[in-house]
Amino acid sequence: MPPVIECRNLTHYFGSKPALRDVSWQVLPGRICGLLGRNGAGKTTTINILNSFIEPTAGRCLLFGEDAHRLSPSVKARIGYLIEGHVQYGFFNVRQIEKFYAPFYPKWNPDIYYHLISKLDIAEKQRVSTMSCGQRSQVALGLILAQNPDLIIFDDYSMGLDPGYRRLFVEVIRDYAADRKRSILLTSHIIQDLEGLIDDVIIYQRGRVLIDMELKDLLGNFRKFVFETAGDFKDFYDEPNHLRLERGEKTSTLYGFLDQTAASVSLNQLGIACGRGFREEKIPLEDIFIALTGKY
Amino acid sequence: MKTIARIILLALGVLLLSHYLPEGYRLLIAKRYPRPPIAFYSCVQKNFLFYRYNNDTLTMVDERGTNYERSDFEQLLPLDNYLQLLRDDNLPKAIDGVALVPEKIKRERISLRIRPDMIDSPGVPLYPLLEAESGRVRLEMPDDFMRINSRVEFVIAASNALDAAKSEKFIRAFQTAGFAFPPRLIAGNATTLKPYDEGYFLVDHAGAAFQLRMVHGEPDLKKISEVAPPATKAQWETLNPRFIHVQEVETHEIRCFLISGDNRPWLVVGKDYRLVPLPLDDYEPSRDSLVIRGDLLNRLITAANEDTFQAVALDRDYQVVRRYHESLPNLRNTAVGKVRAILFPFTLDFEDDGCWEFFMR
Amino acid sequence: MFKSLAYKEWIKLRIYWGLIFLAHLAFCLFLCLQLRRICKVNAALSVWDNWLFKDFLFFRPCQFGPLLMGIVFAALQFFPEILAKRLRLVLHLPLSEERAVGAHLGVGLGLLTLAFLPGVALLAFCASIWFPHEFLLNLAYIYAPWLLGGYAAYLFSAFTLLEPTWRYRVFNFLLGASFVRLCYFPTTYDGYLRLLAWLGLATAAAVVLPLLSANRFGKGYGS
Repeated sequence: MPPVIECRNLTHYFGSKPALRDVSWQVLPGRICGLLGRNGAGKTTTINILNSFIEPTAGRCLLFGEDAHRLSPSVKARIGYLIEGHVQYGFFNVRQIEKFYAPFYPKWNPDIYYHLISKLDIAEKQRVSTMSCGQRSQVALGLILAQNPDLIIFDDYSMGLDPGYRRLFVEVIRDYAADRKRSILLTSHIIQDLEGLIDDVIIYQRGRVLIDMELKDLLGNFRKFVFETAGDFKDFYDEPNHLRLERGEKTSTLYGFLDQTAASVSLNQLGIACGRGFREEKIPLEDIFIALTGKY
Repeated sequence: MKTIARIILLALGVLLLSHYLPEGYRLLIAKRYPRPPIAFYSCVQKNFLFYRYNNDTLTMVDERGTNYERSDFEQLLPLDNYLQLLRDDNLPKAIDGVALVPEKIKRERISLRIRPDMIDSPGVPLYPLLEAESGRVRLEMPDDFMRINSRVEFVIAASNALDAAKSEKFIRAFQTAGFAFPPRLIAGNATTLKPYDEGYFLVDHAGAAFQLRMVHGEPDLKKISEVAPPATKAQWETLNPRFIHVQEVETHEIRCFLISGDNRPWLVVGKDYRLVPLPLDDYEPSRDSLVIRGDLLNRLITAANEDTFQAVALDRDYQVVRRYHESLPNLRNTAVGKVRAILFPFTLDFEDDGCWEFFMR
Repeated sequence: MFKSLAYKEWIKLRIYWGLIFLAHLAFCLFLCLQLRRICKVNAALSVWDNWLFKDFLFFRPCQFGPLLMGIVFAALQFFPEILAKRLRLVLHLPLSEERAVGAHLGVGLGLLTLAFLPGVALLAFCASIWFPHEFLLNLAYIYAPWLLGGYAAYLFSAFTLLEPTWRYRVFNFLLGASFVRLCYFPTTYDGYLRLLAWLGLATAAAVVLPLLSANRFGKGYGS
């Protein structure tokens, strides 16, 4: 099946500073894909290119087979887009905003919008500008879902939301995508929310793709091993092999796509004694992310 | 669409720059246009004298460039400076056999100025027709305004309504006189600050000239070619005036200035509507500024434009007595002008000659 | 689709438009009442005289009204769009960028016209009571360049506001100011007779300029 989103050798420079270097990845139909990366890794640049807000210096970005900055109106109608910060027109109230967007989309379904709105504690005539961040996020989300898009791009859906609204968001997205007929691309800094949500994960590091795999593969194969620190050695990071060693005062940790045996072998190769208490520990997605991308 | 927008942006930008950059340059340079001289005719020396301005310093010279002191200069122009000479007890008793009586000198002074922007300049076509013989010392503005298009109408200001009776009266007069509506030209001097009222000079649709006055409330309309003596009748019939300037003078001598259909300047003089051609070389109404001055003994006509200045002195019979001609230093030929021509190969100038127009140069 | 965009602009602007409309109408009414008082108390004749010969126009205070309204309208319409880059919401709608921005301009120009016209009509009506039709024609010729100035001010303000980079904003502003000045040459009677058609053409052509800025905005220049 042709990919819904396809980035081919995307490269972008801001002046002489590279933001993206030869980035290529895909989102397949019916999948939820998380685009992760630290601040300045290139996520926002990629999203801006996807939304035809920037023209890449080199490379192509295709949505439903069309160039992102030359989308035809019919393809635009199939894509829903959440702007960072849940930006919407503040002068509308909830009824007016629905009335505004509806005529543009042939598949518009107002029920889903009003269903979400009904759960919020807002007056009918209340303007969007007077709502809280969380309430506004629900309005924005409702409008996108009512559009019935085949692809949704969430640019940092979690920004400014409290845990309750964040959880609500995740649940709604999960329900919505359950029929496997929609594709979703999202970015977020709250990694722990994504564990139960996304199917595929792409991790950026300094403008390049570091990881591009299914989430279950990442969670299943990336492991953490701890052991008592013995001897003097430095922290070690091997980016191509995604291997990281951190020395602590009492315990040290080894991260990588390794099983227990391979882990011991690696330590030996590094000349480090496999000290006492060498064992595997469970590692949540957030820790995997930090291990792969580092703390600095 | 983007290309069209870019082209429009470029076009607008270029047009506006071609106007504002030269303007800015002019502002920066702040050099005064070399002013044309002011001419006088000395009835004493029988030659021309001038005020010349050289960067704001005034010199008083004659045709050969001889400088004069102020008192000498004034002595040579007794009819222009009679008050000063009277005070200094220097006024001659007579010149060329004509006695110099101060009241007479004052009365005979005439000055008309015809600027290019007065020609073809639009205005609101409503004309106050004054009562020419009210019996009062001063003229008074009427309560109504006249309009002439396919008929003659008088609109009363206070009520904004037509004065039907008066309008009818005038229409009959126009019909009797054989006036062809609508008129091509209506010219008058719509002020009460004048010695008497000549009324309006009209040119009808066929090109014939008429004069309209209101006397004791009744219309006094004359077709000039019919009341003029045989000598000038033929002239009036073919004149076809395209511009008329009315300015009443104390002596009633000059009725109006007009430019005929072939662009020649004339003065209409005296009771018989005598046509006096102004003997100027190459007068172009849209380019040249004309000044007509008169005194007890002479008439002086000067015409100036950017490049040339000419003066003609006439006697009281309008015979040429002396001529003068000079080329003016054009700003374009100065260093400043040359630099300007190099910097700005084309300029967009907006000029107000009655109507705002633009020229690409 | 145009209906929806018009609806959005109306919701955004309706209160402001109402205020501007009323303010303009009230101002014109004030001028008319002032004229009426002068005509009744003094001789109407002197008013005619002053208009014809001394260039004293009873509606001259309106001279910069359209200009001001054009700028304010453009600001009210486009500031909310450029803050937090909300215009992106419209640019993502399933229609071409030109149509989307063009619809905004169309609504803006339409609302501006609806705000001007009743006041001008009132002035014309009042003038027709006190003056003959020649004066009305004169009023039209004198007012027309001011109206053009108002439309031009609106279009160039939109052109300036939508431009994302400061450098070009300054340039756009200067371009707009220098164009608008052409509508305000000192003039009496129908001094603009020959210039009006050209100015009108140039103002109409300027409609496409905000599309350029919006295109640059959409491309993310300066972000």
